[in-house]
Amino acid sequence: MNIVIVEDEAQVSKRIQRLTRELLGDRIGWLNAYSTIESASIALEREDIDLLLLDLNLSGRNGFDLLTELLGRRFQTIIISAYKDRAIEAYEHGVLDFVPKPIDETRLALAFNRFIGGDSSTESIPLPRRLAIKEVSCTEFIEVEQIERFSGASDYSEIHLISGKRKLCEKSLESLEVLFRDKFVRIHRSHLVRIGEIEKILSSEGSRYAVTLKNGEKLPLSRTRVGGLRKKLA
Amino acid sequence: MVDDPDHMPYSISSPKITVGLLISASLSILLITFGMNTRGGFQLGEPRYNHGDDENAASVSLDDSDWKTDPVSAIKGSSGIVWQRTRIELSDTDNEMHGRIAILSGIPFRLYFDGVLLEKSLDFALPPNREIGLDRFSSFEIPVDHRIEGTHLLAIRFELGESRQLPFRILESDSNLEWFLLPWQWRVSTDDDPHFSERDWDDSTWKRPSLDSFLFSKASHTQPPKGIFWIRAGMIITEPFEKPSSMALFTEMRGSREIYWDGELIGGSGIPGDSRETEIQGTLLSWGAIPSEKLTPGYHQIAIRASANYPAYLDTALLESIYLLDVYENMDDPRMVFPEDFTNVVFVGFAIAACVLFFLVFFFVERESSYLWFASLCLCVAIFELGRIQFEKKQFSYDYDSGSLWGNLILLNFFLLYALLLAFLVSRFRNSKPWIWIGGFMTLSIVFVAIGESIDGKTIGIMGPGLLIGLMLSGWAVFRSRSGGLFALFGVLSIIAMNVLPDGFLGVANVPEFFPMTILLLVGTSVHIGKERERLNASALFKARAEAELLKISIQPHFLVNTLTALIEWVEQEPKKGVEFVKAIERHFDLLLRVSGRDVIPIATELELCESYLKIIGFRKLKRFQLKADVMESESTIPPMILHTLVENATTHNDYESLDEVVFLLHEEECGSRTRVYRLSVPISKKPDLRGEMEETRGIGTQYIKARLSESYGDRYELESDESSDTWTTTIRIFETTKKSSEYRNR
Repeated sequence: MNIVIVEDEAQVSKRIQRLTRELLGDRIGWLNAYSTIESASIALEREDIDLLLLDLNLSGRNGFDLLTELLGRRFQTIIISAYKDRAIEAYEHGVLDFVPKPIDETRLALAFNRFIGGDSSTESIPLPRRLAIKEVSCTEFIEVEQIERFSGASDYSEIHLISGKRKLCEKSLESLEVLFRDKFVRIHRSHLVRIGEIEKILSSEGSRYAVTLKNGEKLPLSRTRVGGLRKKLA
Repeated sequence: MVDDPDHMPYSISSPKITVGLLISASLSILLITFGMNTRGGFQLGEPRYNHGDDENAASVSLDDSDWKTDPVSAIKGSSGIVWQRTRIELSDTDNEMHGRIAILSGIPFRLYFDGVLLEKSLDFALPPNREIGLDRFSSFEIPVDHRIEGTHLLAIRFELGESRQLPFRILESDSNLEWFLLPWQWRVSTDDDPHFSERDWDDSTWKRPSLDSFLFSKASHTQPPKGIFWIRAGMIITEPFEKPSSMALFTEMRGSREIYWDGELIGGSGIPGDSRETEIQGTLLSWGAIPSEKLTPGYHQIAIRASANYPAYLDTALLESIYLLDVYENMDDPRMVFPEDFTNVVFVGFAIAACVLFFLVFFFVERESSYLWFASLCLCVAIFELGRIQFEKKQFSYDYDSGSLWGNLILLNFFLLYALLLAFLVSRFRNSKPWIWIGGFMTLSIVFVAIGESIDGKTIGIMGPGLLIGLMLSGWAVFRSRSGGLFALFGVLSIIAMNVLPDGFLGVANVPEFFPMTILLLVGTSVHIGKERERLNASALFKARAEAELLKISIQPHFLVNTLTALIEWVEQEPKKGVEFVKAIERHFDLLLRVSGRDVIPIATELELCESYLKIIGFRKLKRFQLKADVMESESTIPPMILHTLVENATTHNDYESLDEVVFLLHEEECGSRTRVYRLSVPISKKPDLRGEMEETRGIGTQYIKARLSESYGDRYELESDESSDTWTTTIRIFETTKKSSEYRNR
């Protein structure tokens, strides 16, 4: 995986880099650290970036504006900040995790674990209420409550709103599954559906499964995911 | 002029009876109750004449519209009876003195008032007067029930006899009729003979000075004779005085003199002499008591033996005034103060109180120079007014010549008064070029005083430039909307109003001319003090808040948590450096604690604070941060955390990633003993990355610096920022006042 770190405190940056290398080891493809978002901008445009570790002063006037802009990108963002009181707000905006300073190794490890999609139920953290998506000239927010399901395309995903409208999102279904872990369930390689929208599971001959949604739509259900879905619906 | 006791020549402009339009209504009411002094009297209409006797001629109802207005054509060159009818307008008849009509005549006549024949209450012959032929004085009482305000009819029946003229004059006067001088009786001689003082000396061959003008003055183009000369004049007393023993004859004269009353020497001042060597100089004002038995109703002869060998201001007159006055009423008993004097006395007390108050405010509350100027101005105004009262109450006079010490001191006081007024205005409104205005006034007024040839000329020479510059200064203050500017402008205008508006304005007499100005300036300054206090309180409150905000910066997450995070890394990786870092942090917080709450600290302490901060930043940013200071006196004090705030702002709002070493420069400029100039230069990054950084803390920082500086130095400081491509320079200029004042502030 490819990681960008933005942190202006040299010694703190050193620490983040050291801990990241220790925790992720060989899994790191490349890792670059920058002191400003401007200097990191080229790296952030790269197609293969997976994770941004960002030091952000969220108590400032335009901290969240900057954050919003980054959240619409395809990579996941973990905030590393001294302002713990802003954590909930950050989660609601859709950051993957919020690691408070001073940074300790265990907490950072938990954040990486969450990124990888490991078990995160040990600690309940607020789910995003909005999803930032990048439009041509700006970043737009979509209320999570308005989203019915996501469907996967090659590099991006498509958002199906309850109203029937569709939007494009740079984030992959994997990323979205991690972000909305308890609200949405992956039923298929190409489908991530709001749990509440599922009406029932249909099974047909040849161990073929499907789900019907409340609006009558019918979607394929992977055989491997039947067990997990049943557990979540129960 | 000569016989007008109301022309009070305290020379430096007499009090004009006015309440400026600019004074508030309440002030006018106050003054009206203080100084009611209306004058009554009568006014005569145009007389009409008719030849021949007519029993209805005195009747009020008679239509006299066809009577002639010209007495000569009425007489027609024949003898017999001629009637004259005149409308007479009475006012203020409550005053008994105006219930009387005094007449000088050369022929027999009868006087009717509203058709009623009046009896002569006084009648006597005057010394012969060939030129005018008025040789009899008579006075009549207007019947009590006719003393009503309004128009009345005066009808006079003349018996022409041999005369072909009407030698007759009704003495119009708006002042009392207990006595008056006969203007055409003035005679002057340059001989010197002791008999000249005698009552019956025949002076008909003596020279008659011009009556239209003053006696020996520039205006009449006459000079007093050299050596000793005599002046004789007639005075008529119309009724017995209530207290003849306290009556005295006052003279105001620019010469030494002996005064005779009916041949008896009653007083004078100095000793007349042939030359300056033999003359002993008299004072401007003098008086002589008249023996009671010589104050009988009738004609009296005044004779003055005089000399005026010393140079004197003769714009007004050699003999400026001569009059009878009750001495006790004027000078003896303080319980008998004139009502009009009361205003002045109250005002003097008021001015002295204001003076003391503002001296106290200056010395014990705030060393604000305009308070000192105002206190001095009040003192000057009080002295001026006190002098004027004393002068008018005949308690005080000075040598008549133009070089006399007292006369010049009064002029000097007047000059100081205007100089202080202007000094007050420039310091009160913080005019940036005080010496241009004060210097301009001084130059102009000194030139005018030098070329002025009379006291009045010199007075106007001071007043003119003073008022002009005063108007400009206060007008400027109004234009720049300084607090109290309007009060000052109206104050200056009120002096002009007091001098320009006519006597009797709004019926208020004898208001001291600087009274409205003093009140207006006092009110304006008090309002200003109130506002200042409010501002100080607000700035003290703000300072406290800003200080709390600043201390918060040191314990807020951005500073503290980043420091601690960096510290953890140091401890984990290089424990020895970690310990060093902990010490630096301890040092910084120790200094912060020591300076917080102090008003000022030595600059050396402030520099330590900055250095300890930069050391922490160095540990965090893994870069060398340095403050290079060259300060002349490390014991000089400044309010705490000023430079620290600037340094802190610089490190927070810049990205010094590309620099190997970050150097801050503090330079103190050589600027003389009373000004300190500190210049702090900090490098700036090409692209500051605020990343949601605390823009507002930068604002708080600047506000804090301003609040601290203005709390310590008032408006005697300047804060300036300058940005070049790679440095941000902040310049602080501090203008010191006296040491004492800053010590006072430090308490």
